[in-house]
Amino acid sequence: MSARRIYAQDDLTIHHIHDLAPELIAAACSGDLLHIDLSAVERIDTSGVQLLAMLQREALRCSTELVFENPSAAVQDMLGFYNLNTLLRGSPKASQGAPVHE
Amino acid sequence: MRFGAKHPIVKIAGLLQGCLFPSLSKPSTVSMRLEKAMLMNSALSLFVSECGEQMDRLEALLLALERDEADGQGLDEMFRTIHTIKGNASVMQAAEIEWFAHIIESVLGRLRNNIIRPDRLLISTLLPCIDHLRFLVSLCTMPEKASQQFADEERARLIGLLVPYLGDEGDLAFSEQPRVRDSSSWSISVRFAPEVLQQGLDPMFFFLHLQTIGRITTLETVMENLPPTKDYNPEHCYLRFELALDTVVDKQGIEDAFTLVRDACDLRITPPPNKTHSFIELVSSLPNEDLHLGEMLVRIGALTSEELAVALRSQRMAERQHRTECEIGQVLAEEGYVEAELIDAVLRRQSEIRVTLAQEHRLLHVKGEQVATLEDLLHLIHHGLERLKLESAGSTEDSLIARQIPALIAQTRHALNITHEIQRIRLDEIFRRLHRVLRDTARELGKQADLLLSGGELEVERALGEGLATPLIHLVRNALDHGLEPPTERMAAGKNMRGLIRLDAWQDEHSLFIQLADDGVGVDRGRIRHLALAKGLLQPEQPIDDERLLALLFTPGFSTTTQVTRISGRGVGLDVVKRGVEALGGSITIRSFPARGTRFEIRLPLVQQAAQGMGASSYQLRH
Repeated sequence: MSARRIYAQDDLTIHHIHDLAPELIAAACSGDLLHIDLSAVERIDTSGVQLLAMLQREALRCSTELVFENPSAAVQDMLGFYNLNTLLRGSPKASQGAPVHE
Repeated sequence: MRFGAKHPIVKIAGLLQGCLFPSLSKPSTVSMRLEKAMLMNSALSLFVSECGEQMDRLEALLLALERDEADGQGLDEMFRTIHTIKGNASVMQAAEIEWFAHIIESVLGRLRNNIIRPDRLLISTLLPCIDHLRFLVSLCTMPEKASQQFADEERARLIGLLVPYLGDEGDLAFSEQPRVRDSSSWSISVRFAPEVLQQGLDPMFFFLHLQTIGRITTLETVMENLPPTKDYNPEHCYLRFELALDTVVDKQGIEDAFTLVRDACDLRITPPPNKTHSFIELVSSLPNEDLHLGEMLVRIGALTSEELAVALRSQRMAERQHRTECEIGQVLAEEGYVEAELIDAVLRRQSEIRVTLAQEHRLLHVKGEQVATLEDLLHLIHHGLERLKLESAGSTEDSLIARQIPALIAQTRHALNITHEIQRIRLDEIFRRLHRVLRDTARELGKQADLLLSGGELEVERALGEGLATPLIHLVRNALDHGLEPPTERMAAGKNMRGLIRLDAWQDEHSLFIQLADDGVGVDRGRIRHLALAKGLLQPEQPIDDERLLALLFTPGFSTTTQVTRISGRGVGLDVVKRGVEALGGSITIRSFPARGTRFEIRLPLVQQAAQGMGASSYQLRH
């Protein structure tokens, strides 16, 4: 199984979500190991949170091992407010600690 | 509740700052950009219109306060209204409006908490502040017309006037909460319409607003409605939220936090379990007014006006579907707005009130007759004393009785004035009820209207005034239901989206005139003719002049509406109006102008032998 790492850009809001979503969802459906690095995210709104939830669901559906990595303070605050910190665990397979191939 | 800079809410607000209305330079295509801009404009229009209504209300409450008519509830409502304006401004990122509303809120908070007094000077200061808020709101839609210099100067002037009322920072309204009732959690379930995100109405902002009126103890994000990938639009909202909110504000206060998104969300607010008991206790304190069940629930805060309007629509739909009458209480309980236990309590109280009112009505009726008898008696005594006074004037005898006669005459005259006052009523007292009728009916019909009144200062015999109430209520409802068009139709016709109903009363030396006019669509004469033919009131080819044709509307069972609603359409209404006016010895005529409106003209004789059973001898006007 190959691994892929995607670095999310600084803006996960309604203004860019339309452009960002297709690529991320396709990656979540790849069936591979996927790492999404959230360290650069400075702005996130409800559409961004919803996209993360979609990614997790799709990863589960496609047996993709998904890990959300290095969540920025913005991501942590937002997910904390929505009580969705569990999203950061990624898909259940990922939580089993699969190895990462850069 | 005041959040420090490190509070998570403030941090999240900061993160969202600038997320909603940044430059629209990056969307993928021009059409997407335009679509997004249009959606955001619609949110802005909603904000402007909501602010307009809230500022109108605030102004009316301030005027009532000036007239010394405001009570604690009025002060609470003022505070809540400005808080809602501030919250909505925060959602729309309108920082200057939010800031200025915050200053006004601070003053109103101190006023409500009896720290400052509502003197005339304060109200004269607050009214131009509302004007300034209106100005700031108007700039949202036409910023190119903004004069920053004027805005700055006016703001500085008004803040200068408000300074004496502001006190220390610690007194500011941010840190003040409405009076404590209980601290149990309200349950809030809200599902937003898909397009709210594109409209710039991020759910987060509404929850931040809730945080200013209480504490969100739990927030569950429910994702059961996330669609399959092929149907997923990342700019749509598919989330539902379940919250528990500890707050001391009432249901309306919570609903107000969602004002900007009220038509774009499914919102359910459930009181804490112990709240039903508190509501039941409140029911017993409702005044003895003949109110509908829904109105009583709104009065005690168990139901909001919006919820009532939605439930009434559901009731109408159910009635149409099942072709049978459906109780509003049943709808409210089944749809989960109010506990059945509370509805039973309100129905019991409604029944008690009606019994009490019936008793009072009987007592008032007797009292009226007794007062009339007393007045006759006082007239006799007065005449007798005047005669005695004349006779004693020629006498040299200095008796005790003769010396007392002038004082006795004065006292009798005073007593006569009192009996006269008791039997009179200002038209204002009748007209005042029409505002509520207008508001509730308009809301139910989804229309918008203003009611302009004149002549309320006239005084009439109480029996005449009260006899007029029912016909006028019917006429206002009729104007709203049949006269005024829905807002969209009015705008399409180049009219103001708010309809206008004018009620004018005036007199000459013989008559009282009342005219009720709307600026609606006018009467459909073709439909009257069609119905008259169908009912056999008119023969084919029979000539009939316009006045007689329109007068057919007063025929019992005659209705031109195609839909039966709770308001009208069952063919009762205008015949009741006519009968009511004729019972007062008067007459009513109708004039109508296509696309310009309809006017009802009522004439009542000032000195008129009462119609049978009215129980009064004459109707006389006095300024």
